[in-house]
Amino acid sequence: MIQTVFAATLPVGERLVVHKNRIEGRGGKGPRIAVVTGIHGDELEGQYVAFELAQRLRERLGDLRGVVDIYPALNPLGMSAASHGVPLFDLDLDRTFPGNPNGSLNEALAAAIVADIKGANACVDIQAPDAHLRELSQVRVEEQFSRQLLPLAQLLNTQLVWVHSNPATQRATLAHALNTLRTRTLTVEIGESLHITADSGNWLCEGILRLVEELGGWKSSSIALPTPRVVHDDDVISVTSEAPGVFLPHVEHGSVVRRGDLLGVVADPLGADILREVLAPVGGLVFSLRAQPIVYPGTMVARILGGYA
Amino acid sequence: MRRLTLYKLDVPYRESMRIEGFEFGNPDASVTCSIVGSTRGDEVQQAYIGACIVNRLTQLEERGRMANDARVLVIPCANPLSMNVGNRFWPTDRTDINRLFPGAVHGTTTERVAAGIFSAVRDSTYGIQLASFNQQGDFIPHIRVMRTGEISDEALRLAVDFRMPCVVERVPDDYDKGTLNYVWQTWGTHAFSLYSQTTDRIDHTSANKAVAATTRFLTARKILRGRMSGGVDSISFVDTQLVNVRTEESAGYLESHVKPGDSVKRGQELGVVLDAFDAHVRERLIAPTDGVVFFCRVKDLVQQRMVVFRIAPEL
Repeated sequence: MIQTVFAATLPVGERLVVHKNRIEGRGGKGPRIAVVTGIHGDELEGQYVAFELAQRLRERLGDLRGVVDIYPALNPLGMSAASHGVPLFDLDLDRTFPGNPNGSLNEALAAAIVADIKGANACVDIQAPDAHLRELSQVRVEEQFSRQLLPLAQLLNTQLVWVHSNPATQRATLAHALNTLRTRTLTVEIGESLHITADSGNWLCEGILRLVEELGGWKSSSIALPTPRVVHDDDVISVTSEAPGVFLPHVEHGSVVRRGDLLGVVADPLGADILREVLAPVGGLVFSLRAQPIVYPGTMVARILGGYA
Repeated sequence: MRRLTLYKLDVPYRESMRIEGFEFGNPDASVTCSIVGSTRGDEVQQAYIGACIVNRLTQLEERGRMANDARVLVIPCANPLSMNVGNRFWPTDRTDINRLFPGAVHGTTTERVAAGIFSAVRDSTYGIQLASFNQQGDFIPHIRVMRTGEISDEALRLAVDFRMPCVVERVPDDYDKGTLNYVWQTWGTHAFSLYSQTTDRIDHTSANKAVAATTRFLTARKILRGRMSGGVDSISFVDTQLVNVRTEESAGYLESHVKPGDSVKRGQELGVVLDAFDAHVRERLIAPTDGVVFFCRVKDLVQQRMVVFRIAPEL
């Protein structure tokens, strides 16, 4: 059943409307699970998951106990333009939570989303990596909530679960707001910005069904990938470019490198010079790799997960 | 006056970005004031005010008005790379330098820029940031002080020496804790944010007032010799006392009847929202309290639940 979560009038003959698809199981009472995506309009991987998950659930409503609410587009104006933020304001919606019901339109939108999801047994927020990076699929868990979240995070069929610190200036995310309200919320990054990667989406669908099953809401079988490695900030080494130019990688994303291996070069297309060789400071797994090649001094070109070789 | 390159960043396809500073007075002085203009690419008014302050201080220094034991450093534009391409934020990753202080020398690109700026201004006795809001509109020119404790209490007492119409105290949110104003205070600088009327366009009248207010403050602190003149007695309040007037039920074209600084009475019509197709009045925006118009939205299109006016209470 399609339900309206929030609506507000736009200047010229249109409303901004956030919808959710409420899927009620026929297997009896059970948990309420929220699956949200489209908070950034250029991260489209969740569109496939929203579609595919709803299809699978509808085919087997008898195996579903309780409710799965799927919110495909928390930022519908951004989604329609495939723009990262909220158009008009250049605003990152995932920096506006928990919002304010008496505030501006975007603050009221954020507050309405939180109010609607609050109290769910779990929430999965599907995002894609920053447009400049390729990433392995991962669940990101704030350190302060890791005890409650880790058991669920490991069910989602990602390659990694990253337990990270969160500076005070970045605590306005949906996940932080909901976790603070004791609604367990997991932020998942899969695939690529502006793309749909069906394989990653299918694995995540299975992972979400595993999570629903764990919480007593799914009686059918679901496919499990090997348990993901849990990494912490101290395990991750960022490698930056120290010269401006074009980064040309010499390694594959997801490969394992040794200390001193050539990760790539920063090239100058005008003078046809190699300005800098970028070497691996440690051995390990290249779990992030620069996708957009234009780099400045300080631009991150890779992240290496140490101790992997 | 000495012109200094405070920070240089090599960038692809363009000439290196240089952050230029203009130093007045004694470089080894014990009393120092740093003035930082635009940190964002659309802060045209703020960069312009910074340039006008350089111009004014050059004249005053030539007339012998700088005190012996005083130094002023002015950075009119701390982000020329964004300003030259018209981006409010850093063009590649949309980061906001004014959320990244004190920065990090070996961090990301914009953390390095923030560290470069901060290393030039961090040991100042006084810090003035020519700041802008993310709300699109015009404001009463004012001084804003972030509440951080003892040092901000003292800054609030000193802020009236700008003799601008308002002194506003802000209780910081988490996201304020990377701003230059907040970080300055945590490093022991008395910090002030000076808000002029506009952001992405020059308003000469309020720019001139901002230059005069800065000169008055420097005179009151005895960094400049001479007598203070002009300005007004400031009214002081906490920003939570501002009363918002929103479009509650409608959206369309905004027709505003008031401007920043106007006194209004409770029940007065401040503006109307007109229907986008037949221009009939869809909503009347009424002042909920007596006071002074502190903020006015200037864009013609308004959404539902958009803050159009902010009223400062009569104090």
